[in-house]
Amino acid sequence: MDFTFTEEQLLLRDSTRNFLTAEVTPSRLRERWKSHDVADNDLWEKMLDMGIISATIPEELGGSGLNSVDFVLLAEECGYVALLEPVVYTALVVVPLLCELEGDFPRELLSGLVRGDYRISVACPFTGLVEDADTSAFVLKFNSNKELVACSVTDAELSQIRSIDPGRRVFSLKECESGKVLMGNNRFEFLHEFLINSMAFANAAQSLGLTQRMLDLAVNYSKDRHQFKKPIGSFQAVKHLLANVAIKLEFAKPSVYRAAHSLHHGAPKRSLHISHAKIAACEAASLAAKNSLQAHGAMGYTWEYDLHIFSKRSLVLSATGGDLGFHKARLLDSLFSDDFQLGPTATFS
Amino acid sequence: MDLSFSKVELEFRKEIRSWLRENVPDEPLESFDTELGFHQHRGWEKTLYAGNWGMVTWPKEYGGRGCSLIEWLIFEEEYYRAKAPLRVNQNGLFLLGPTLMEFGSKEQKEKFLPKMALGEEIWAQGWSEPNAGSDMAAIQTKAIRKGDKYVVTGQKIWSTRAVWADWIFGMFRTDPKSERHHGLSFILVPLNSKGVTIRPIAQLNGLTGFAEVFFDEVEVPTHCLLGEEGDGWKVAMATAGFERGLMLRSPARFQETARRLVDLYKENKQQADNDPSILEAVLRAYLDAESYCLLTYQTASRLVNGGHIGPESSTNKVFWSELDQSMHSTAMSIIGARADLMSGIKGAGLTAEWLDGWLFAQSGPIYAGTNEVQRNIISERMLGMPR
Repeated sequence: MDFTFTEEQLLLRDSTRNFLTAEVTPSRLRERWKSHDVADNDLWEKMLDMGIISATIPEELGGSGLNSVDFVLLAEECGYVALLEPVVYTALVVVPLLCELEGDFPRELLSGLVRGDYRISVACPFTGLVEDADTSAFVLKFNSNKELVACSVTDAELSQIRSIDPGRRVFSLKECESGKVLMGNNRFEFLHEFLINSMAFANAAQSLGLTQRMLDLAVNYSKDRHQFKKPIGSFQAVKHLLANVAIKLEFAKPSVYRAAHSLHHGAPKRSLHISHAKIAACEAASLAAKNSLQAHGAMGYTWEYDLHIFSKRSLVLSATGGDLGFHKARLLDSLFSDDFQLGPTATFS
Repeated sequence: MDLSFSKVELEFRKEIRSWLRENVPDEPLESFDTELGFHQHRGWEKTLYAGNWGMVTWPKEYGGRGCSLIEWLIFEEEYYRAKAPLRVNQNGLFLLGPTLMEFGSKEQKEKFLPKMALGEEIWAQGWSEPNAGSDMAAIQTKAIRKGDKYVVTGQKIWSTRAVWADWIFGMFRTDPKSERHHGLSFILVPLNSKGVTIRPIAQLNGLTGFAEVFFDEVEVPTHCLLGEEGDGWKVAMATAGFERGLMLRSPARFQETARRLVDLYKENKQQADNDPSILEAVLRAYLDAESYCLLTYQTASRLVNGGHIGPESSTNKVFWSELDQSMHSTAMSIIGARADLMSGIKGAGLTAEWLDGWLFAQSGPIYAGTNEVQRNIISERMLGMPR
């Protein structure tokens, strides 16, 4: 039993953090909102060079062969800066899905990702919507025969849908039924759950980072902002708002790390562990959004102030990858099944 | 990261499980807040010690097994799984024990630890005073040095287990001119000393789980000073670190309550579903108890690997006390119209364990530092917010 990260894993996290906080600043995100550039190719190139985008691709295909335990801390850091480029979905959703498939074409797609030839996105199994579809060459989705297909985006008709998060670029796809079949429908159940789990896990990990970011913003603001001749952070009412966020975050983290471990090892209870992680992390982010806004007062309610970059993103991550209702229902199904183990010895059994 | 138990850990689990199966009394003991129950529980401590299970993490020379923290968590899991009696000496074992390990002299360790593990000396806590509750630095009870003795005069209150305990530990003002957290010392006092008067206080369940303790020129040998004179605050705070946070309330306790809650819900599903909030509350009990277990294993692993506990450990107490409250109030909602009935009609009395737990859970956010104080600590020491 050893529930810690290795020195290497922590070092990789630190170097990723340094890179991201320097590069992905709120002002750079705001430029993206305003400009009609569909992607920040400069940033993507840099992250490709750093090996982050191909981090989870097997070494024999040119990637670094990292697993979900290695990558979870990096996903957290991507959440911390509200990274708009689909790096986390590439590493934690697209790549693992392609790695599950046999045949030459999935391997070719993985090699293409390593070379930086193109991006690949996935259709949400709940809504059918696709993030960043217009910057992708392929969209992975289930067709009406429950086959997993890779559709070429050039064949599809895209229409963009506005999200309240100005950084989220999401599309509905038409005429994208055909595509190249990657896997027949005999593995639909497995792959469908696999996809949901991957997305939920990716969102949970990023939500931890978002929570930390919103907490940091509020703590810093509460030190600077004075009222009644004191920093507002010296008032217990404000302290306790933010202490509650810290508690939620502290207890959400290990559920996400356990989910990473279960995912990596294909543990039989991985779906439950991921649902737990999704609920815990997204609820922490949602409390952070609410309480950090309260700590900021009216300033937090302005477009100019950066808090909403992160609070809107946290809404997106909670809603997608299976909303909380989906994950609660999935947990309840297990909790009340006859063979479900509960009690003091059940956690790691 | 490896979330499976090693062969050694599994062997350890097997050993404690089979010992508990042989030795845990079939009939539950009386509450240790009654005179009979206290003596029964003292007897149980002796049984544990005889099996070498008194305090598994302590070194062998003090009556322990030198186990790792992970093994401690396994021990606790098996202990709660087996429904073994609560530890009447928890003040000693979980609070004073770690403090003695860190600050005690060799002589003090040899004098106190084995008898603590054996249950021969049961400990009470002496922190609060009538005018020093959350504001612990307002302590006034004096311990004035005269030759090789301290003369203790004053009053402690809310002293857990003091009614039948043998010793009390706490902070006393050894420098009468000092103020606040200066001039305090951590001293151990035998409760059978001349000049000690104990006045039991009935708790919400009517039992005397705590007491007022009056000291009238009580003479205590100076070798009962723990740490340096005047360092009492430092000694008390240092042990507010991990072992206190980790050991006082182990996750197994709450996981067992969550398991019972799921069973209670299943047995009373029709009644419970009248209130649509109950199902979610049951799920949350399971998830939160699980989260508490995960965080504890994470912390224990970090410490086993040579890491240190940080200020984030102060989140523990708020979390488990609120979890315990919410699980028990959910149980009350499930039981519904008969929730308050202790005996006299069919079905009543079955809920006695839940009622006991429900009352006790109300004290969780108050003892061991109120949750308001904990939230101040979290915001100031963990988040760095201004005082």
